Amino acid sequence: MTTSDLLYAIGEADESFVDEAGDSDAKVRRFGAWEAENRSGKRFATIMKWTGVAAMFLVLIVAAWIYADGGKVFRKDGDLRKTDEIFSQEAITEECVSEVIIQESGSPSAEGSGSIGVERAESLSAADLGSIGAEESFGTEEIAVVEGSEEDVFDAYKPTEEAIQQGERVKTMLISSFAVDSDAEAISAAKIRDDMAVANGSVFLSSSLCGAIDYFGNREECRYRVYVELFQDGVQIANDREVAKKEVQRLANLGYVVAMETCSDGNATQIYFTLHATADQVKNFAADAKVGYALWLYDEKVEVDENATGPVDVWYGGMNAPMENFDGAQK
Amino acid sequence: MEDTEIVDLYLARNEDAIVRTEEKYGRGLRKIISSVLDDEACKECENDVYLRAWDLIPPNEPRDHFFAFLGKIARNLAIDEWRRTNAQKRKATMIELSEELQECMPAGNSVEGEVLARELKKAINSFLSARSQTERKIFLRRYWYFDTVPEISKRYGYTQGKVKSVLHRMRGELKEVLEKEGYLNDDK
Repeated sequence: MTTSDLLYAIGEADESFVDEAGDSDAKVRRFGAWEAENRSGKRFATIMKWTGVAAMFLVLIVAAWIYADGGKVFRKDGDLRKTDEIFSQEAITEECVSEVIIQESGSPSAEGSGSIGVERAESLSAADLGSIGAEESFGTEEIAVVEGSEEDVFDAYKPTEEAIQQGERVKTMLISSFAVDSDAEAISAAKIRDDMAVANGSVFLSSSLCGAIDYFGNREECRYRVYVELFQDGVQIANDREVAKKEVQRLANLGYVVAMETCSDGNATQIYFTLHATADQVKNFAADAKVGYALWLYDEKVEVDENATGPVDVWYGGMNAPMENFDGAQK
Repeated sequence: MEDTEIVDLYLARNEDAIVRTEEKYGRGLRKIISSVLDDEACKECENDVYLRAWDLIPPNEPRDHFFAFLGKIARNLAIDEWRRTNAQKRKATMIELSEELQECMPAGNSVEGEVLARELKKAINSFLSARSQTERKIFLRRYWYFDTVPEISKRYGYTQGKVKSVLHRMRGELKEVLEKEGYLNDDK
């Protein structure tokens, strides 16, 4: 048997599977073009096209009014109230958080369950929260199951005044997933997919990230594990490019805790650019005017690959710290 | 025009059928062929696809999956031509794809001809039906539609890393399936 035989055999795949893989075409085509193929849809397509254009003008007028009125714009001053209007918070209720379980890395909470996925607890110096020097090392605390109300959990992690003053190492919670209304998540995912790029100087925040920040806020013991995608002039930048590396260093110098994770799955090496950010750092993200950013919660974008082999190298950087390589996963 | 109407044109031996086919699916077919062959051979292959479809309808009436039917013709003709082509003129996409599929096949197999084709088809469909829709789509976009990894990533909004991981895992699983079915050892 040759690879050609295999190629021919794949070509004999069930036609329903082939059409299933081809159907996605409908989702990425422009709305008007898709409808035009419908036998009775040409006129409908024309009407919908012009309705869409009119709707766009209306949205632009409203947006301009809000801007001119000094209202809160999505990114301009970091206020997320506009986001609240866009993304439904109906799925989040007090009852959902009657029990919070600290989960190990790679096992996010089920979607729609209302529970919260929390990454492993990590030790950070209380005095250096958000500003980790290269000489600090990360350790992974023993995973503990904490049952009780949300406040019980956070009480276990809240650093005491004494600890802060003495610069003792305290635990923080690194939030890497959050369940939001499924429609909002679909809107969020569709927006970034359809747009394909974030404009220079702009910041896109996923619904899950916004939901988590709205819910947990700016607690001292909370950090958000943010997965970052970079764009420039409408094109996504690979994380091994010079532009990406400079951006990482720039953010580290501004006090962001940055992590560059590299992982090999045996076939390719992937590099993930992540932040361990406070709510303020996300809401008031220090964007460069020449770069566009899409910020996600880590688990929205990274799946644990069972076939991944080799160590996971994690680079951390902080205030004015050079980028050093820490083998954080193995400590 | 609906697929069923185009098939009716074929059945009525109306040559407008080919015009309609080219209008509706020409782009998709050219995309598949151009992943395999260079520009020069593409046009010729595309014409061969329409001719072949004309010959095959009737007796076939692919009303439900017309593009899949045409795409299969296009793939097979393109792969036939690719196999005949001088190795130096082969497209990088197909060389890369061929190398990837090599992972599914260790050396030393001896299954022959028609039996292989029929049994492999069953094995592939069984393999695909046991996979999730997402995995199936990614696999077929790569090895049926010959999309590149960036194209698949862009289509579904996944990272390229995720697409590569899924493909790598599926090739490993396909190899296991083929070995288990006995296609890839000397006993069958």
